[in-house]
This record gives sequence, C-alpha cells and structure tokens, in this order.
Amino acid sequence: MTRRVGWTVLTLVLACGYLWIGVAAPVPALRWPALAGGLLVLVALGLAARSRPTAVAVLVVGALAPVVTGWWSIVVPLTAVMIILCGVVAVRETAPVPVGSA
Amino acid sequence: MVDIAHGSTAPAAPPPPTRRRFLGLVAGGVATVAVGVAVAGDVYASGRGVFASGSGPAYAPWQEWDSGAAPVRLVNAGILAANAHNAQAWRFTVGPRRIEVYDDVSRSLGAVDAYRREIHISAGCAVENIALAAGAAGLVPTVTLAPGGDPALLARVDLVPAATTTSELYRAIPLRHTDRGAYQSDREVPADVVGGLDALADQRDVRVLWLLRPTERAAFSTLTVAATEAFIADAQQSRDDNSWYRSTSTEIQAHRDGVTPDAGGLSPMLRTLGKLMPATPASNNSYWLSGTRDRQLPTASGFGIMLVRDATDVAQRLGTGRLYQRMHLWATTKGLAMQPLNQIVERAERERVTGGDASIGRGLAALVGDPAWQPVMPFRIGYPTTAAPASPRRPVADVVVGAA
Repeated sequence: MTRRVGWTVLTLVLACGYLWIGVAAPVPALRWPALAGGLLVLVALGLAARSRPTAVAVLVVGALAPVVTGWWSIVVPLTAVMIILCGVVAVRETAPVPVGSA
Repeated sequence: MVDIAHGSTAPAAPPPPTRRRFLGLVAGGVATVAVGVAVAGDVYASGRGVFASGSGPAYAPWQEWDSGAAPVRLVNAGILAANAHNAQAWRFTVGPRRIEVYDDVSRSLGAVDAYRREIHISAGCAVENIALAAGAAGLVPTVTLAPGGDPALLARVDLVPAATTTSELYRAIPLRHTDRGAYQSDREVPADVVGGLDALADQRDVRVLWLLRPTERAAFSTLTVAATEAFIADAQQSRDDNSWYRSTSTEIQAHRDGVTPDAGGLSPMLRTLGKLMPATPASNNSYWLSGTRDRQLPTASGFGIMLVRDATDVAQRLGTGRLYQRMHLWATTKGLAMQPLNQIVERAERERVTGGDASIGRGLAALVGDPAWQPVMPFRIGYPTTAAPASPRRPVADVVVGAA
C-alpha cells in the first residue's frame, strides 16, 4: 500500500465516522452538518488530483462543519482534527493530473 | 515510473531504510490508532445517546400531548406534570365523565421520600394539568382530592361537557420543564411577579413562604448545602436516590423515567462526559453537590417554600402539587425558570425516621418561623440562561390501568 492510499483510507474511514453520526443523530442541528461534512471530505479527496488548494479548503470546511454544532461532544472535534491531519497529508500525497489530460 | 508530484523524470528508486522512513511508518501507525479511536468514539458516543438528547420514543409524549380524543387526551397532559425524581408514580382510570388518579405504590423513592409526600405532591401536579386540559377539551372539571375509600385513590376528576376554554396555562403545559441549570444571577424577580404567583393560590391550607432578601437566601442556601451533604453521607438515602438516575440512551428509552444527564443542568461538555463515562453513585453525588452549591443556589433570584397546615394530610399535599404546577406554568409564560429543591425537607423527614441528629429539621423550622405552617416543598426561581430540556415520560398506555 502506498502512502497516498494509506492516508486516503484513513481519511475515508473518518468521513464514514461523520456519516455514521449523521445517520445516528436524530437532532437536525447535528445530523445535517455531519452528513454534509462527511460528504465534503469525500469530495475533497476526489478533488485532490485536480486542485490541491481547493481540495484542502473543501476538506477543512467538511471537517469543521459538524464542529460548529457538535463542539461539546468531544468526539466530533477529535474526529475533525484527525480528518484535517490525515486528509491534508492524503491530498499532498496525491499526484496532480497534468494540465491538458482528460 | 515518473515522479509527477515533484516534476522529475528520473526513475524512482526504492526508498532506502532511512530514519526518515522509519519515522514515517511510526507516524502512520500512530495515525491509524488515532483514527481507530476517533471512529470508535463516534460509534460509542452514538450508542450512549450523546447525539440523541431529548429524542426518541421516551420524549414523544411532549409532542403528542394534545392529540387524541378526550378524556384520554387529558391524561396526555397529566403525565407531563412536574414530579419528584421523574418517578411518575401515578396511575389513572378513565371513564367518559371521570378520571381517577391513583398512587402507583410499585414506584417509590424509598428513603428519599419515606412518607410519600413527594409522590402525593407529584400526583397533585398531574391533577392540575388534567383540570387545565379539561377546559380545552370542552369539559368542566370538578376535582375531589383524597376522596376516601381506596387509600391509593388520590383524586377524582368529574367531567361535565361545556364550552371549550383554552387558557394560557394550558398552552404552557408542553413548554414547562424543570430547569436545573444556572439562572441569571444579576436579575431579581419583580414584586409584581411574586404577587402574581401568590394570587394563584386558591386554598386556605396551602401557601408559599418567599425567601427573596439576601439574608433569607443565604440562610436557605447554607441549610440546603448542609442537607445535601447529609443526604449523600446517608448510604440508604443516597442509594435510593441514585436508583432513579438514568445515564445512557438505552436506559432512558427502556425506563422512560428518572433523572437524566440532559435534565441535570450540566454544561454541554459535562453532559457529554456524563454519558460517555460510566456513572457511579460517587460521581452522581459529586455532580449533584457541586451543582447545588456552585450553580443552583448562588444563581437563584429567590427561593420559595410551599407550606401547609398539616404535612401528613394527603389532600393538602395534593393541593400543594396543584398550586406548584399552576405556579410553574404561569412562571413559564413569564419567561421564568423553577426547580424544586427538596433536600432540606427530605433530610428533616429522614431525621425523624432514623431518630438521629435533627439539625436540618431545626434549621428548617427556624427558616419557616411559624409552627402553624409546615414545610412540604422548597423550590428556587429565577430567569433561565438556557432552555431547559424535556425529561422522558412513560406512555399513556402504561399508566392508564382501567375504566373509571
């Protein structure tokens, strides 16, 4: 397993953690930010090969979205920190698609 | 192989076993463990109800309270009443023109409430809600407290059809919650509000003693802290108290009663810790004492003590509950928060049961200062800092046991 794949898998697992919270939380104030956050992290990983700055921005927004309403839950801020740490490395390890390629 | 990331066209050689590579592997291992902990934490926290405050079937009665047909609809309102330890020690029989309220003797606070004073007051709160809901259902209620016969029969509400009257207090029923959090410490309760609360009393043998001056509040606070400490030091009383604490989502949804971390008045983070960490009687007692001493007493705008002529009289206890519920609903409409603080009376009763040191009882008598009136229920009042959360409730199907 390459380093890129390793960090990407870790970030994917964390994104799944957010999606889990989104599905499990009956309170809309946490459900929608968690679902949106998890999806944004997945989108960020998909964008990594096209634009690193955009991918990192989307990743950070996705990681922090549930923190706004779930800061008190301890596990959400912890997950956010891990997403940013792992996700940024995963994005940096992703080779950009050369300009002009499909 | 082309190293596109670094813009080089040189063939990539396999990395040598350098110190840097070793550290990279260690970092990957640490990150993997941290990710595992974070995701396991997410799943564990979900299971403990961290993200599910005030939701699920246990809280459904707060949404469904004015649905269905009368007279069962009246019981929907009755079960949302204030009640000690959220024990919901009530049962109802329902007929087309009558609702009877019974003491559910299978549910007890044990040494916390040796004389079932709090259970009777709680039933009185339910009676008040039923009476208010009757008007909204087009029925005029005639309430008979402690009608006699069956000692478990606490109240009878006879219903006669009439025009519908929906009161402000009725509309406040689903909005009223016991607020154990901090109140706005710099805000006094105006005299006209106290007067408005006093005006709600409609029985000669039930009244409120207000403790609003700083010296009175200090005396009440000192005695309440002493009573709380004595309560915690009493193994039996502490054990019976703790048996009504529900900490996990599974417990709350299964029992649908008791005191929960959400309703405990804790800060959001402490509430989360309370759900994540296994609760012990020692930790519950510690939070209770510190919450009482450092948050509930110092931030209250004032205290009240419900007084009756005879504290052993069931009808007067029920009347106390009716008045307290009416006051709390009225206070809710004025943006005020209230919370019973029963430790002093619980300890005074416990002193009588055990025959030991009667210092709390003497302090309480001094606080009341009139032997013609007996204290049955202290409470605090003030302006809230946050919205008080709902408490779980058993469904009507569990508490309606037959036809009246």
